[in-house]
Amino acid sequence: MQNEKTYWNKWYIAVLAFLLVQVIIFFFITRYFK
Amino acid sequence: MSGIDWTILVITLAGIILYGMYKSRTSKNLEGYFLSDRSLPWYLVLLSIMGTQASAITFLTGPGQAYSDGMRFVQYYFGLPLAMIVICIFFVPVFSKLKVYTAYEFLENRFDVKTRTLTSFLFLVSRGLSTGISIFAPSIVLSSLMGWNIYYTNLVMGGLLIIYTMTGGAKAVAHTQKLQMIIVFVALFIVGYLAVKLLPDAIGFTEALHKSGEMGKMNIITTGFTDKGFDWKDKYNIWSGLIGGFFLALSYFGTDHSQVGRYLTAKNEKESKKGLLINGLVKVPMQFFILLIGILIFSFYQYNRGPVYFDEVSLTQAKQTVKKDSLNMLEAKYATAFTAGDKTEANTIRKTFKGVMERALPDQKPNDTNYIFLWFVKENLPVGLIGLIFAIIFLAAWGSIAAALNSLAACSVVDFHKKFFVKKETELEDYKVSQWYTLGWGVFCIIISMFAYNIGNSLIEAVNILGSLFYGVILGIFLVAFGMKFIKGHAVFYAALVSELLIILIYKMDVISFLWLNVIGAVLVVVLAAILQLFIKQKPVQ
Repeated sequence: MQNEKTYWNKWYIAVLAFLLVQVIIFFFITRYFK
Repeated sequence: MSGIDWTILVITLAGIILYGMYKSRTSKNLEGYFLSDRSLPWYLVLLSIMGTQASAITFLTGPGQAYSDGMRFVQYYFGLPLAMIVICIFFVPVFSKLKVYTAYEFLENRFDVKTRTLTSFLFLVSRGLSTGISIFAPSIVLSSLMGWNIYYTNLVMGGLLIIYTMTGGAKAVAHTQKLQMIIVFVALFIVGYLAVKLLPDAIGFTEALHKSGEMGKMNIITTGFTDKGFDWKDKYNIWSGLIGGFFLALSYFGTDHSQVGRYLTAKNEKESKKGLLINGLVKVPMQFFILLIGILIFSFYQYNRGPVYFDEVSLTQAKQTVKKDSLNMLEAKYATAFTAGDKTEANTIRKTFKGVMERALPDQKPNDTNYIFLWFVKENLPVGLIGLIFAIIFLAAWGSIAAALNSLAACSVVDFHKKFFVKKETELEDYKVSQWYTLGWGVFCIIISMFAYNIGNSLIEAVNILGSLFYGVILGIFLVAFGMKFIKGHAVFYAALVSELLIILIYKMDVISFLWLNVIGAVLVVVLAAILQLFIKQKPVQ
């Protein structure tokens, strides 16, 4: 049960981290092409 | 369109129908027909979720939106990955444990029959109407551009998919969506590649982006703040995307049965969650790519003169009004500015032109955004590819309409037919009646699309707003169900009714962008239900 919880927590962190990375990249693209 | 294009279009569409019928074999009972025997792996669930959300209008509006308003539309999807996580933590385990057939069945377990019935009814009304419009919306664009008869186009757009949706249910829907999404993405990659290739020799991909950036189109991240503070009527900025988009995605994926029905087909909870989370990973890049095609098309038209307005039919109508001289004068000015190389002036004239069009045809609310992508395809892509791109518009429409018909039939049968009318039927009778309900909803949606033609473009916007009017309230009911155990059926039912009226009132006052109505609707239900529950609790004591 604990293992499964850890497994899904890793998924959730990956999804959040990927969103954050995309927003940061988009921010720099916006500034670069302004 | 050339003979080769017609052949490719017909073969692609016929191939999908045949493939859908080939994959129609399923258990002849409700679980087989509506849930594909709960047997699908995560990647089919993923493609089915994506195919349901990505309608024809997604592929028409996306590039056009980027062309007209820049890349900032992508922010609309920032809340989606967050919603996927919340749904995986709270919604999926409950739906999976209770083995529900529809999302609303859970509400009877948690509250009572009337709350389940009200929510399912709200879903049937909003989804039934919006599916009719999702037939009409791409049909009107295709028929205007190609001179096709709107009624026949509606029939092909909304009618042929009924064949495999009716015979094969959820399984046929999922398998055809898999094939549809593969074809759609391959075709879009080819369009993206050709859009860069069609630019002048000295202009590469980066130069094209710089040119678009100079015109303000690379506005991917915007904050919504102006000199006068935050603009609440600004539709797309990072805050409305993260917060409004989160609530919209949460209500759409968590409470709209056309989506819930897709991940209920997974073989277990793990496969449902994987499908949803990978959707959270790929959705933003996918939308970014679709919008990027619009930016490339915009760059292309900075070097090749396109029309000042892309919807020829509306333009012809507008030229029969008193605005005729203004429109002709602006067209001439646009041509002069473009020839002189003054692209900024040309783009300003296009904006003015759109304003004059709106004043010329105030009842139709003309908007050429949806016409830009297909205009570019029709005028610039090679023979064969045009037929394929037109085919993907039909395929994208079929994917979301098929899922909608399947879910509408599921709710009609499970939440109404078997609940109130015919309780005792054999499995085979259940299966057959479900097929008839699918056909019935298919016919209903086509009828709506036929009537939509008489009302015009404004209805597309009206039905988008209609979704926002209902989604927040439905989400509020589910939030109470999952998170506020002390609230019971009466409180949430009356809170939902009052909230719905208040949302309609707020919309009528026109003080806030419609995306925020989802948030307000959900919060209203939660707060009012909590207050009502206190009152109802006190009543027996008094």
